[in-house]
Amino acid sequence: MDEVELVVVGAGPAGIESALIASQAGVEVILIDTSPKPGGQYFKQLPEPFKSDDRSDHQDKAQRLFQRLGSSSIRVFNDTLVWGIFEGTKPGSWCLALYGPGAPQRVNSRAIVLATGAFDCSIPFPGWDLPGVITAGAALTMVKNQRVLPGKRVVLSGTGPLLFASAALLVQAGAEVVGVCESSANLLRRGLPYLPAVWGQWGRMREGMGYIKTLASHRVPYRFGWAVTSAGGGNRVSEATMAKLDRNGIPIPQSQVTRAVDSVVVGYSLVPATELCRLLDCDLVFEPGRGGFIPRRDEEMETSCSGIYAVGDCAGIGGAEMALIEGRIAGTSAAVRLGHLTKRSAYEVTSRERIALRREQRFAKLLGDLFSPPAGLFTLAETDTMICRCEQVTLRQIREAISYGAQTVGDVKNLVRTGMGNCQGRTCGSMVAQILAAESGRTLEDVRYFNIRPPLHPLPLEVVEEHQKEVHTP
Amino acid sequence: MSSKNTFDVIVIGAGVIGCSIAYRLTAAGLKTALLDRGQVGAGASGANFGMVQSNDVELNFSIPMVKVSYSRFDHLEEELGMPVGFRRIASLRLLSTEDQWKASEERSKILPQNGIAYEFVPPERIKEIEPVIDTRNLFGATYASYQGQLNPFLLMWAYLRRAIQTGLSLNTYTEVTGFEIENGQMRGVRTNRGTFPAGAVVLATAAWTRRLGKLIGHDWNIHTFRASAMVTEPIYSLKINTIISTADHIEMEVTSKEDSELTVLALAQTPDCHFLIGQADRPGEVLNARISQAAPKTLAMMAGRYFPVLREARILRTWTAPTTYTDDGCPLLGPVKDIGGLILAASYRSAIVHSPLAGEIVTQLVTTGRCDIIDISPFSPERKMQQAETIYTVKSTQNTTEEV
Repeated sequence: MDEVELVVVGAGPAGIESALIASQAGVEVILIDTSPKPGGQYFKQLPEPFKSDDRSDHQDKAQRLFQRLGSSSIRVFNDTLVWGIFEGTKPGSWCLALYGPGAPQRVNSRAIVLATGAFDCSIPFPGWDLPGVITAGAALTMVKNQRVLPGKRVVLSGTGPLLFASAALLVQAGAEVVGVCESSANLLRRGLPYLPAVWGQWGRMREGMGYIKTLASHRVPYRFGWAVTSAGGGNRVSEATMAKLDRNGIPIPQSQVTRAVDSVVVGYSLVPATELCRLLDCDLVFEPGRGGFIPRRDEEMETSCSGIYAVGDCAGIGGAEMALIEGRIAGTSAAVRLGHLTKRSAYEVTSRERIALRREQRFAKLLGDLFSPPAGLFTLAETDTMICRCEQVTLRQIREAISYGAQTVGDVKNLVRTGMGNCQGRTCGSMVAQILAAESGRTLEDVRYFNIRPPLHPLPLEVVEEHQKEVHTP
Repeated sequence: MSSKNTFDVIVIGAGVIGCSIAYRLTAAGLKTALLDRGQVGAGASGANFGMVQSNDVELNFSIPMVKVSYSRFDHLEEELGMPVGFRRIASLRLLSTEDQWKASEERSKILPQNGIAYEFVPPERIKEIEPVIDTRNLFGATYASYQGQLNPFLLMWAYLRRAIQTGLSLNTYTEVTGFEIENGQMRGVRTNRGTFPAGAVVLATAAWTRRLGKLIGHDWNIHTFRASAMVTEPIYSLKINTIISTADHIEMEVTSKEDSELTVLALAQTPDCHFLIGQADRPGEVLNARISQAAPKTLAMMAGRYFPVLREARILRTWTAPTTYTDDGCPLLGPVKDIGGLILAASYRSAIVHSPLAGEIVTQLVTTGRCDIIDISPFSPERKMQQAETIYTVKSTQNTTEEV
């Protein structure tokens, strides 16, 4: 396969939906995902031998989506990484480099929908890199999909609904949750101005109430305006210290409590997975309530790179409902670009979607504003705390780089190698930005973001060489 | 217009040359601003292997300059008060054919006469120097021991750190949009972040020099190409002793017959054991940072051919940066005749080795109006250029192209 009309990267709600809409319009689509099965984080499917009798709304929705996908003509490549996107050999085309079983090594396409989702935002505190300290997303995957408990005595720290959901699931699965620290305080007072945005979000409210019931019936202590400030232990975590935060997010020392635990779950909301956008040098805009730097897009969800669309959480945290809507808009727009739909019939499809999108945007703003980690939390790290785990860079080294006059996270990277390792700064990027901003008196916008270059994840030289198979010659 | 933004000198381009110039100017007591459209080292200065090279020097005029500048590295770390990872290391250039050797013969005569070691070595000797090289198809190599390597980012920041301590105003993400010139005299530069008045302006802008020149009626004869490279994860079990390059190359079309990329091997190991693998060159004026679809593949092919042991190594990252050359292999260095206060220090080949002296020369030009360290007249921006031999001129007609 040398050429395909549309490539969708990421088979979560946004990706599947955009692929389906485009495919229904007659577009030839391939859908690529790194996971063994489509679904993304939201509709994650169980591994093959697992059986489930889940009859929830959520499961229904997921099954309907997978059925539509299964009966479509979309070609799905699971376990496949898009390791690079290059300018194609023909003007206006793009060349994707793939790595996965059964996947072609190269695919050329005039249109690409990026739907790569988001990942957990961590904050660095002493002991955050100990085994047993995991993210909320990891905890959810372990409990929901692997049916494994991360620990028997767990404390959670973070912000936002995902933390809430993780706590409830851990309790249901039989873990003893010794505390949940939600870093945002005064949620009710701060939330009031947003009440109109909650109108119509009944499904979400029902889901939330269910979690509250679970936590209340197990008497799980839920503390607002608190955070885990350090974790201790030898080879793995054995205790966690929590503290109340002042209005800037700085812990109040007198309030400290230490508990014996065997697992700490951390989830400070989500960071959009913008790597492919950055790899393409798409223009980014800074929107703190949507997860930081996100691609600038037009009404059609197209980025500054012609033919490259970005939808769902990777284009700004907004959740699954918003992802589905954006997916439909981008899928429709790509069908117009590729000549399968007229603008007029596309308008009929998308005008309703845009109204729904605005409602979702209001809700996303509410969540973003209420549940962002306060800047003070990024002062928890001590001089010897590891910030970049790939390259083993401590706060001390980052401070040294700042003392030289580093102005951007890129400068820090060039000086002390933060973000130069295997993950290209996925984990430490937001931390280095917060530290640099706080210590140099710059804004988060001014300190910018790490560049991303292919390969997206480390790959053997012989794969990059395309050694074994016949090569694509332009 | 605030006086905060008024300077004695504006240096444009925060690459290794611009950083060195900014350091020398502030050290001389001049109120200096350094501007860059991106971050520090965003162009070729941050994309190279940190080679402190003397062996590829242009032979007609540049030998004195390279020798003086190279000697500055003896004390540079001490002077800057910061380690930059400098170490002396030899380089090997692998030759497949006798013709490739003949192309290097003149260099092998001239350089040693000038105190720069450069000699031919047969395959058996290559094997002694670098046992992991597959020498089966080699005619020999040139061996140059008067070389060095350092961390280019640390070098730039070592210059900057000192400069900032002595009052440099560093303005990154500040793009020059025009120049203020009155009666043939430079008065300042306009940027997307306001105007910076100054009586003297230095262009250390490499691949962007031509574009900036066109804003003021000059078309300086600098050619642009994009050079690409990549880096492996650290490989602690494999240590190499030299910097290796090849005369052989692969040519691969990128978009059409006219748009092809030439890849020679340039391979070095960093002190923390990563392997740096270059260099794919794609001629053209495009200045974006996107690597071509061909480059990662051809780089991997060249590395795998000479270092089969690297085939299993994981590649962490590839990158590309616009870089330059001139027809005669010499930089554009010196004052611009028709605009008072405008100085060029652009299109150095091997900018790192030249950076210490570039700072000294430009500072002398700014403060005294002349340069008595070396003769810079052959580098005048207005000169007529003669085509010169350079060891990095790879011609697509050579019969070493791989069928892929």
